[in-house]
Amino acid sequence: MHRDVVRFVARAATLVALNALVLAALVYASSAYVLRHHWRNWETESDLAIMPAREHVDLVFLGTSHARTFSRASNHRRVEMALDRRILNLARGGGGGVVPMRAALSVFFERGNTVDTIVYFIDPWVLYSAAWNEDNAFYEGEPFSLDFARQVYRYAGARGLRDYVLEKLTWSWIDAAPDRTEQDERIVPARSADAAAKRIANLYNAGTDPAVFRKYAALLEDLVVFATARTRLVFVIPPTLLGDEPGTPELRALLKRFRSTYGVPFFDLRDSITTPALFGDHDHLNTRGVTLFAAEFLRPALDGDGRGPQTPPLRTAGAGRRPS
Amino acid sequence: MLFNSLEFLVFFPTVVALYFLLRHRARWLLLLVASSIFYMWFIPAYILVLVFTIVVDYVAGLLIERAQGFRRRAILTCSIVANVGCLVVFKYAPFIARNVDALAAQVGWIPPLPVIDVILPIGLSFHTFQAMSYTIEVYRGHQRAERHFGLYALYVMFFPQLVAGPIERPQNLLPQLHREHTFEYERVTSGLKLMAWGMLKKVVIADRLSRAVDLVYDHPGAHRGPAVLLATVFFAYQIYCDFSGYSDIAIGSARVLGIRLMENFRCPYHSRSVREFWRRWHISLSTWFKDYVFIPLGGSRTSRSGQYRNLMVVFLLSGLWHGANWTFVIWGALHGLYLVGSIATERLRRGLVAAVGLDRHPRLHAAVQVVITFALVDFAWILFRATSLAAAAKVVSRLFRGWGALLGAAGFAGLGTELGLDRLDVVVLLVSVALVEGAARLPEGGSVWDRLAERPVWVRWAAYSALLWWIVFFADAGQRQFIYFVF
Repeated sequence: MHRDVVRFVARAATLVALNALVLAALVYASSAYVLRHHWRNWETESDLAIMPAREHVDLVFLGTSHARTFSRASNHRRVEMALDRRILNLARGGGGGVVPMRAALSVFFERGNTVDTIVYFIDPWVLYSAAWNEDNAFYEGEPFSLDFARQVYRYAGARGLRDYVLEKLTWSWIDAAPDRTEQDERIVPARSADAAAKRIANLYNAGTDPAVFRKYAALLEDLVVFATARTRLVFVIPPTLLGDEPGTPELRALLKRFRSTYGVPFFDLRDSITTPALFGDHDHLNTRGVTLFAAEFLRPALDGDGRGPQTPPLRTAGAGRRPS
Repeated sequence: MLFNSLEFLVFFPTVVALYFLLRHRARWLLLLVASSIFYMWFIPAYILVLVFTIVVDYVAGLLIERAQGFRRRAILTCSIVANVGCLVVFKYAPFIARNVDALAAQVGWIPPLPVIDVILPIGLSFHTFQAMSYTIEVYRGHQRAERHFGLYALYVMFFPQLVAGPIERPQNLLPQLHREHTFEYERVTSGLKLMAWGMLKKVVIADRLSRAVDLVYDHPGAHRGPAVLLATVFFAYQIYCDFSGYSDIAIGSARVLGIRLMENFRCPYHSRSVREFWRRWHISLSTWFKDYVFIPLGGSRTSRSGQYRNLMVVFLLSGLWHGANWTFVIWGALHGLYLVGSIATERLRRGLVAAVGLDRHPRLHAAVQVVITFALVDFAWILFRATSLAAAAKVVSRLFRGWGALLGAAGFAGLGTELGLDRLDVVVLLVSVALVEGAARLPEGGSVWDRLAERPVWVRWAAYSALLWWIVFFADAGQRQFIYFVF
């Protein structure tokens, strides 16, 4: 029996080791193959593909697609010009909640990078659902790296880690190509209460449970502590046509507490842009909207060095007013 | 605990390692504890139901062995009533109450019976039948009453087959629990390979097919005939891969521990008649009903009408065993009618075959028989899968509509979309099904593993690795419970 056990253990270990080697080789090879494009921020949704090492940037953007839109459709260069700053946009489309942002920020600093200011474009709905946080497949479309794999395992567990690894062997990953869209020319002809309501239902897919809010608020506070120990952090509530979103008063109260406890300013710029023609859909600015927002609202907020609890909009863009 | 879960991936190797490290004397305790943990992973409190039936049947076995005549029969009856009583309370009471209420409402009787829906203890139907087979075999004198309470408890609770069979017989399982088993390389690796094979069937084929089936069967009115037909065919293969996959994992994991469980499936869709189908499908249940219901009623050694009656009783009970719903009862009745019909029309069919000359082409004849048998079985599966008789009727009515839209390439392409399957799904399914069917149809019999054993080591290891990667890569997302868990 002893001989059989030894034989079994030896062969099983060899089989596992061989397969692990093959897997590692394939995963690294596929990641290297995809990274051959030398991606730029506006060409990809990936954070790691554009993450430098031991570099300094002026601004890091965090948030959901509302922040990623500042890089999409070649907006990135426009925003950099408007702000006169070098930006690294780590925001994540498809619901980049607190968990994905915490993971990305950890990797950013672990790679020896530095930044002057982190601008976190925070939406209230990210604090109300696991779908935007630990259940979010934030590792999809990310090249394989051990430092990020640790974050994936920390927040998404073994299942997330498995999916992260195996996705590197899928055709959709290997076939990834840069997005060279020049601008987002979509417009919203007129605000639709029905469309806004549907979108809000989609974003608040788990309701507005205060216990869930508290859970992700605690995680957000952890991010605040982590970030402020290394650099300056600013919160911005981005513009939207969705109207009153549930949880906004709770979010504002939370941000006020961060301001008083950690000295982190926030800017409520939800109503800074209300002209539908400056939006591609009810909660994403189009290229014109992005350019205007960056120059007229974001830059003064950042240049103002965070004075005051809530910097009011300098002027309302366009002739339209947001319906009550 | 599900076999297709990360918890089981940790649980099983741990149990196996401890099992072979421990002395034989302590192994029953380890397996009992492990089986308790396995069972309590679902709803811990329901272990009390298991404990109740174990205690009742353990005592009953000892008493039956010592008793004579009427007393012997009375004790057996009490044991069966206790077991069936658990089934009635947890599984059939709500169904009975709902139907009595409906009947009462028809005749104008006002006070309704209380309908208390209780979550069904997992595997209740399986371990209850396994426990009953013990007391019946002791009563018949075919099995000595087990003195060791722990080993008897393990007989009922042995985790590989606890929640979804195979439903074992005491003559097979109890002696093996007494014997010491050593770690044998060939047996252990054979068990692991069978487990992997079961996983392939379950997580790659069954779970993937269930997406298409659920899509259609949840809203049959929204789908065309071709989609409904395909979904029905898919369900036949889904339930086969799901259940036989579970059985493979159960048998494989028991084999690793040195325990040989009975075969539960034998390529049922290769059957040439419904009678043959029931000799190949869920063999442990069909033999249970044959030995403990059909034969005691007289079996086929009675008049023709008596035989028909016995068949209908068995299949009505079998349908009821599967679920407390009229769909299962009708499903069982339909199979009963198939068998009655096949006996009644045997001469006619033989004449028909001779008349068209099919008997001169045995292979074609066999193929026709297989196709017809599959069609009959698959039609019955509609009732099995549908949530109600009305839903089943809806599915059947949709089967014949919308066939015109299938004409042209676009029609077929649209079918994939309608079933929620993309190109990758189709390729994965085709390759996986080809693997499973190919393994089942090896010329000159034998298993695919025996054939592989003849190849060089690098070929074997490449095949094992490829199988594991296929499973890991193409396991359908989402941990779906095994279908038969709900029985």
